[in-house]
Amino acid sequence: MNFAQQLKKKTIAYYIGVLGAILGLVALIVNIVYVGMGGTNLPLVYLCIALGIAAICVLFFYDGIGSEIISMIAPIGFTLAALIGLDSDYGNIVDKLNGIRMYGNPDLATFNIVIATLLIVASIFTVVTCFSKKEK
Amino acid sequence: MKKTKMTKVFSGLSSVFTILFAISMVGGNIALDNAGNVNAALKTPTSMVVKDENASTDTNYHKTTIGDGTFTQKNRENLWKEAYEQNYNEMKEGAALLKNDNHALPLKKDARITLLGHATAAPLYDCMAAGTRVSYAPNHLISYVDAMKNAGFAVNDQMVEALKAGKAVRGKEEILYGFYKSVVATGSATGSEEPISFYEENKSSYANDYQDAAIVMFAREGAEGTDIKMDDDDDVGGSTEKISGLALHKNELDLLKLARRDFKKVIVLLNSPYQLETEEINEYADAVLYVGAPGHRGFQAVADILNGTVNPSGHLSDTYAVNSLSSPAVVNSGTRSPEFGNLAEIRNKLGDPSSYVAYSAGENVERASVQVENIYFGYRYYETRYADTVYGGRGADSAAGSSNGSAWNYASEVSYPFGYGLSYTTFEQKITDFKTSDDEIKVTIEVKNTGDVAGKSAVQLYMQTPYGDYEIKNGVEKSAIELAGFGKSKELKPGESDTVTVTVDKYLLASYDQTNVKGYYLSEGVHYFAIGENVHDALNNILAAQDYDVDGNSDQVKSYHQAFDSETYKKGENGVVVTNRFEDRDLNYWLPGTVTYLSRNDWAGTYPTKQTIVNANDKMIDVLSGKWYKTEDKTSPYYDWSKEARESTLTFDEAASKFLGKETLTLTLPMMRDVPLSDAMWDEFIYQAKLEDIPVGTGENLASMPVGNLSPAFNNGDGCDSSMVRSGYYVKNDETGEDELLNDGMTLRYCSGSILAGSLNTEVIANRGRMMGEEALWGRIMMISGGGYDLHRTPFGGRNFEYKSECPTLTYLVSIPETQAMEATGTHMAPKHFCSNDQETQREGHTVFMREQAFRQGSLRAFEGSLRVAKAGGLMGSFERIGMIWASADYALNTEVLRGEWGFEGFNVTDASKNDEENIYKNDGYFNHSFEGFVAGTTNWCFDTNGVHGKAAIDLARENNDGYMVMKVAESAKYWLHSIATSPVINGLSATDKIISVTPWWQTAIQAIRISTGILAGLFVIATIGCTVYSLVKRDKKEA
Repeated sequence: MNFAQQLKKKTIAYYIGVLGAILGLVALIVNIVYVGMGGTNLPLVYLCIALGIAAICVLFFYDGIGSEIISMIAPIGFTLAALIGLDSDYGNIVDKLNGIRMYGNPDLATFNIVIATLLIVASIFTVVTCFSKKEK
Repeated sequence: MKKTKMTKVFSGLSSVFTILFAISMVGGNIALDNAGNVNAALKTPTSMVVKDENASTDTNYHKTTIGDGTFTQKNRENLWKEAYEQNYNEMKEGAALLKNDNHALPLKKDARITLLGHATAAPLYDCMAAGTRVSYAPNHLISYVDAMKNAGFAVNDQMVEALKAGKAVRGKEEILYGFYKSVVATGSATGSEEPISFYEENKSSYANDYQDAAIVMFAREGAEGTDIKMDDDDDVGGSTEKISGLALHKNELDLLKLARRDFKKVIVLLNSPYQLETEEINEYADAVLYVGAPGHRGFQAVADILNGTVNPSGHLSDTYAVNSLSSPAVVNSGTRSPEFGNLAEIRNKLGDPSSYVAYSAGENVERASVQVENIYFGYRYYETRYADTVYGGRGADSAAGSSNGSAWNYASEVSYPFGYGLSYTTFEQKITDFKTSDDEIKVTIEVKNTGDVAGKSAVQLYMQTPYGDYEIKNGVEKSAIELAGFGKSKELKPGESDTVTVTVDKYLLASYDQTNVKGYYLSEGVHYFAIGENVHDALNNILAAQDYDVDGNSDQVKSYHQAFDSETYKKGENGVVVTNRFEDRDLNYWLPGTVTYLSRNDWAGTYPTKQTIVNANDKMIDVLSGKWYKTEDKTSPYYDWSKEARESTLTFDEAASKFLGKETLTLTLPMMRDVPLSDAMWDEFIYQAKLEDIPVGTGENLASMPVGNLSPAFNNGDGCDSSMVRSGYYVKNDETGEDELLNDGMTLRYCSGSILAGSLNTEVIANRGRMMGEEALWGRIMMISGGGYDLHRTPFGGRNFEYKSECPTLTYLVSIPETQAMEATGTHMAPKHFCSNDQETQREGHTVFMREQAFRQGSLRAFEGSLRVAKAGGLMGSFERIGMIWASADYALNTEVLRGEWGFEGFNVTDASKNDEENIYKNDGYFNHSFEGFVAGTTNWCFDTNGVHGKAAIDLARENNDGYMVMKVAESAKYWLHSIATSPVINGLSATDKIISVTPWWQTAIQAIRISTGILAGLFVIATIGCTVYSLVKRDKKEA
């Protein structure tokens, strides 16, 4: 397979999905920093993001039968990662908004917001990929 | 091609609806876990009452004492009027005038003044904690500047506007997410005042006018969860070493110097519920007035004090030390609380996360403080040490603990003693009668206004009990002076007199001997009583009466001889013996010889000069795990706590079968309102329910759920200085005759705790309880988590603004009228945080070691007035560990002392816990040990709206065939229901009305969204797979 040819074959919709995957990767890195700062370490979050990124990567090489199913993994994975993280640590955000220190660590709330936002946007981008052709 | 296109569409739709389904599942769970808060925010009912149209009894069981006594819209206005008056009166009688050189105050009523200090632009009306914030209800507010103008002063508006546009920030200011402005208290004063250049740039605003006086206001702000920093950064250009958060920072000192330079008169307002260091302020100020946090309307009283309309009569409820860090209590506490020495090992053995996160699954082990100060904090330290410098010996004048490194000297350590407060007039007080009996001491004091201005005079009565050979031999520590009681005269015109009688319960004279008597006793020897202008004055009077050469007046002293008595206070309420129960809260119990507690017998040798670092051994780690239910370890201090549970043979089915699940009740809630809790009818009442409904009776939230058909949904209040009632109020509709629920916004924020306590006026104090109770009564609120009876152990405690004083006795005495008055309205007082919540740093799980005497005469004494004497209807627990046990899982505290020794019959709710259902079922996590909590005596779990702790306890009891636990949960619900039945919740309910549970609309909506998106997601996923399979089959056929 010619990598350059493969690049040319891909549609804009696919590259929107790649953008989503990049955002997912950024979210993963931010999550690692978040955990290092005292945030909750949730292996499922890493798994869901990794699956999402992997799905987009696989779609670079394969657009045959079943690629629509593979497409779905990305937005669902990113959304689940966002939700799992929020479900565990929404207390940080509640504390931040209320200016208290009760349910979590308000100093980390910005991380939670950033991670969730990146993953939600990544989901939206990769949903676009699901609806569209990935190769010209 | 078409099929491929369809597959993509199905794929996209599958993603969309799967995402929506996932959001509805997770988001829905978050909403359901926090159902109480959602219901409160959306004002959605969870029950409805089917009225019996034939019922004719008056169902306003709890009547209002506001105005004409009617729950009408017209009378509602009177409630606001009285609330405003109360807020004003608290400041009027509680603000303490600390300095007034050359009659700097009062100012002329039309004085032209300049307001200085960043606090002018950002006054500290209140601090952040539960309770209505002034900013939530600005309609009630009289701002600081407006108050000054209302008082007739001409205010330099140009300076005010410049300050508002200034860059100083008290706390951390952020614009969140692009739109949400938040200023959060950090406990730091760095950058909270404008630099001197700002004032130099704006001095033209007062160059030719507004020169009558400079009013400089300084503030300090802590919060729930945030202590004042003991080690703060100075402002830019200031000290490069850390300084106390309560010391003047560079910009503040520069401002004072500028004010002194530019104005003939400098008045300083201490807008801080935390004791600022004042020595430097005194150097530059002509007058200093302590105003704490005034709430919504208190600044008007401040302005009226400044213009002489009001003669100040408040007194300090704390010691103002020269050096805020000089108290021995500072060594191991607050922001300096040390971590466990072997923290990593402890966390590893407990299976905890490697760093502390509140509300994680871990046991929240991080910091351990040893209260080496013993009973010696606040004036008990400073005045006792002073007395011992006069008595001589014991090393009181050694350099140990001295702020300046040389011999300890009172004048170098204390700026303003406890009880200090000046007036615009002068008074003469003398004791005219002194009577002793078996139970009490009664002292009559004549008060005369010997000055030129009308005013009130507070009478402070202090006592000294013997510290002799017995005490030294048995390790009983004694303060050289203690508050015994107080009173206040009426307003006296010049030359007028009044009589104030102070009655002292002799119980307050008793000390706790944990060595020999193992209980309370009265010392043998001469007991002195003295009046004085403050604690130091009274102590000097006693020392003078003892023939010491001090500036004291022995005429202000009476005494009597007391025989040794260890019998009178041997038993508490209901004949329960008072005895040692907290020996294992002393670190020396676990690690003998580790701690040397401060003793007045040897100041030099026992003063803590360095921190105590705790290394927990395996037995201690076991205790920290929080698991002690049915422990089989006979050497464990908690073996006895589970005795009943271990010995019970009641099976789950036997217990469960008691619950009948009646659709039609024979006993209804209003019928139970006068039935004592001990009556068997309460069992009959609760057994009418289904067992699965009972756990909700162990939950609690601001919007609490119905307990099956036994009780309706209702609301609760929360706040020490405000009731935070926001669910509305009930009035009778004149046309229909029916009750209707209206809403006129949030309730009032009153003054901070030390202002209320510093009024030393029992009527004002009681009326606080009454007003907050009335606000709740009109809303048919069951209880207010209020009061605020923890201690100002140091000046740095973040929630000191809610608590009353450093003095356990003053807190005890203040709590009684406040609680009684609130209970009289029908609304229950649930004082918080029971107990030892003296700091905010790592409050959820903070381990605190102490001696039993210090605990009983300190933290416990502070709550005893409200819970034992005033019979509060409930309480809220503390986040902290007493020793190594979470306060709400402490059997000795909640059952042996609270229910046993004190005869408490109310509900007992934890501080905020979390519905961490998964870990509650695993019995894993600091707030999640349901069994231990229920057995300890906790009846309710805060913010656990759905009663998850109770449900888990019953489910696990079913698995373990543990009928005892079922009955424990039911007993807890019984306390809760009893409190509801005796509260305004039943107003409007007749005995024959029916209560029906209602599912809030948003819960139904969540379920509908879940079902619809789930179905659609499923269908589209099937369609996607179907199309894919079809394509595969088609391709295979083609290839074939």
